[in-house]
Amino acid sequence: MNGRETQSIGDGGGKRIYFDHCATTPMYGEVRELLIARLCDDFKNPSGLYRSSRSLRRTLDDAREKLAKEFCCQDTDIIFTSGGTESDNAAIRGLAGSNGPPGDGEFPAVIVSGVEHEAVLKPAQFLGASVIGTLPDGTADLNHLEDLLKVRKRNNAGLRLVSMMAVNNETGVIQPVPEAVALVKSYYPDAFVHSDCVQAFSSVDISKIAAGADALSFSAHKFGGPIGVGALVVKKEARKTFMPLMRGGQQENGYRAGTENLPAILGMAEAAFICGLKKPTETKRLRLLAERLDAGLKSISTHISLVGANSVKVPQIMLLHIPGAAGDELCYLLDLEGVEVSTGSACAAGAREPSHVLTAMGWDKKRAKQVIRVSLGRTNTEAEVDAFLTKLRKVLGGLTF
Amino acid sequence: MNGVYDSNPADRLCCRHGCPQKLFRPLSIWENSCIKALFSGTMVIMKVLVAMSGGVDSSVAAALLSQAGHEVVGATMRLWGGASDSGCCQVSDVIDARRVCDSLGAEHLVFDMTEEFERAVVDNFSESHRLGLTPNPCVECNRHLKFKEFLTKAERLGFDAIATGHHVRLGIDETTGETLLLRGADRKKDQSYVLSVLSQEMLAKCLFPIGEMTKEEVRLYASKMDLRTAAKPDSQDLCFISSRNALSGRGAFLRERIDFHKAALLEENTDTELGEVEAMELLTVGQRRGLSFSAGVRKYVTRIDIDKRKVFVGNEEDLLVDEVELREKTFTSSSLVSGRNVQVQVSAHGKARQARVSDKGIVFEAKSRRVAPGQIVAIYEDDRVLGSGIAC
Repeated sequence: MNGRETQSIGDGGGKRIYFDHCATTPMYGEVRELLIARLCDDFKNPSGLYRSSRSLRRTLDDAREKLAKEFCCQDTDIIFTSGGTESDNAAIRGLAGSNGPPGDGEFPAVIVSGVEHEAVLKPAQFLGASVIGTLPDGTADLNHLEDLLKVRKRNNAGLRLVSMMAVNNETGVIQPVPEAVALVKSYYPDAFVHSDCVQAFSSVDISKIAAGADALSFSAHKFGGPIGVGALVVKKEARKTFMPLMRGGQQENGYRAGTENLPAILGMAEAAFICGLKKPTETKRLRLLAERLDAGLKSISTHISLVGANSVKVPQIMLLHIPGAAGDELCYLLDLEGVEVSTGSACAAGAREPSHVLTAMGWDKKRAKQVIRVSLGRTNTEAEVDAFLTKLRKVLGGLTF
Repeated sequence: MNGVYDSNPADRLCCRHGCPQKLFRPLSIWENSCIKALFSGTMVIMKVLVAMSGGVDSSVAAALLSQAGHEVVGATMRLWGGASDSGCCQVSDVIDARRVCDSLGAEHLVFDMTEEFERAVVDNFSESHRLGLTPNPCVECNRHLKFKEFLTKAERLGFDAIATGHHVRLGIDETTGETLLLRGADRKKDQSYVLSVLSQEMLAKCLFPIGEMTKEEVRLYASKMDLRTAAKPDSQDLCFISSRNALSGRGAFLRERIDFHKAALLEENTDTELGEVEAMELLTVGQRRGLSFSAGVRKYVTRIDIDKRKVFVGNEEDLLVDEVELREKTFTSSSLVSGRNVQVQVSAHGKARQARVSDKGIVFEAKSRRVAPGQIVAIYEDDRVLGSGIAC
């Protein structure tokens, strides 16, 4: 058996519309070619002692330098990883200086924002981290952060690490990272600040964040590079106490053991370069597309609202609240129409759970399930936005809420 | 493999379905439509959402429908978000369901229904115990989740019907046109009791593809189809109670949700005080074990008075009653009318007793043990489910 082809259900007919660029975005053509070429040739280990390996080592170092320009850091700050999740885990566990929750009456070593990706949130929770409150508009509450810092100070407690993401992956809301850095350093000059820039790199100028933060996480497949490769930037001062997640080799100066994934790293460097080059024009284009989509949504129903509309956000990430509709059902029906969007977070079983970002913003669980996330990227066009609006109108019309 | 279906194809037929349906019995609406379609040359292809737990029964249900040519989408409901070791709602079950769908070329969806489950099943379970009742959480799950939320979801998503892997059959009453809910062909696995809360409206949208099969046949079919769940053990316990030991697990589970109260233990007829019980909320009418006193003879819980904090015990004959009052009645069939002679069943696999429908509930033909308040009383006429009610 098993000979049947996939059923007719859900092919949507015609070209599919991909509106889930936050999940992953397609590789640049140049990156794909480079990757294929590198996978086919140059199989040597860059740590070898012969000239062909030394040559690969040079390309690795060149890629590191190239990336340092894009990531606004020194090349020696870059630790290559397997992606954003590893970078975040390595940052939290590597900089917190503790291996578990604090003892009775002690303060946890870490403070994180409540809207972090789970790759930050979960390791932070493991260490018993304090969580910064979230304002209803989706931004981290700096007043609350200051309160947390004051209480610590009053109790003569230390602080090792604060983590705040640059751009939220569900709402697109830009977090006040430079302000948080200034605040943290004013109370605790020796504490480190980490910022998850996984979603930010393709959409905002990260130079201000990089200037203040001690550690930054990146993931290549969010900006046109391959899946399975990323980087953690750890500045010199922070590296002094950084505890590696992976041990057992001297690669990455001992900060991340394991043979370097050279083709993927070179692909990431190329993608970062292209993305950086195109960022100013692409940002403007995506803003226009998002505005077109937003205007179209208003014409479908005035009840549809954009989450975080009143905050500073990147326009291409649009979390839409559609009262009365179940997000997972809408995704299914849109999928049948050939449109690919997301709802936000999922549990291990694959079920769509209410987003922790929305619950942090004060939404109840029921309301938090009435959302879909549309994230636009470089392959999207005005025609696709218009087609999406037509299909959404059709799907919503067929539902009786 | 030379299975039942290879060796005995003549007595099993359902148009081009290839599904193991025996002839010479009332045919379901679905089968009727299939046969009509077969003879008219227009096979009715339905879009069916199959509720898949990750077990063998629902896997085979999906496989049968898929083989029959229907457009099948599998869906797993994530019901319980808490800890469980009873083999339900685990990630591995979702993977099993998804991989079975993959092997059938069908899509697979996962629905998070943890909140609805918490509200309709878990809260009801806790509240019932607080009131000294004996709830049927599996029945409430069917009533509120599988055949309400899930069915509504399926309708909203454009499906023609839902299917489950329950061991029950459907038929049609030729005179009234009503859909009949019938006991499963495998009497040991019959699940008509837990589905006795289904209405005609619900049944009209339901398919139970494995109802004609025995469990052995289900496993044989799964094995023949090379489904990965073919040898998976059946789940037994309540999916949300995390313990191999149902009693201590239930106690621990409820302790987090309701307050337990001590109660005086009294002799039913004499009001003689026999001792004390630690948690009257955990007792059930008819219960014998777990009572901490020695009376020399077998004593059963006959009544629980939550307000006065009294638990009465008595001999077996003290439990015998003539009738049971029912609330929240479901009329699966319109023939559930007062005066009708029926059989009633008070637990999932209990023995059916002869009774008569009364205005208030049912009257037993011969005195029978009192039904624990809160339990579902399913009402049958032979194999046919007429409806049910909750014992008062």
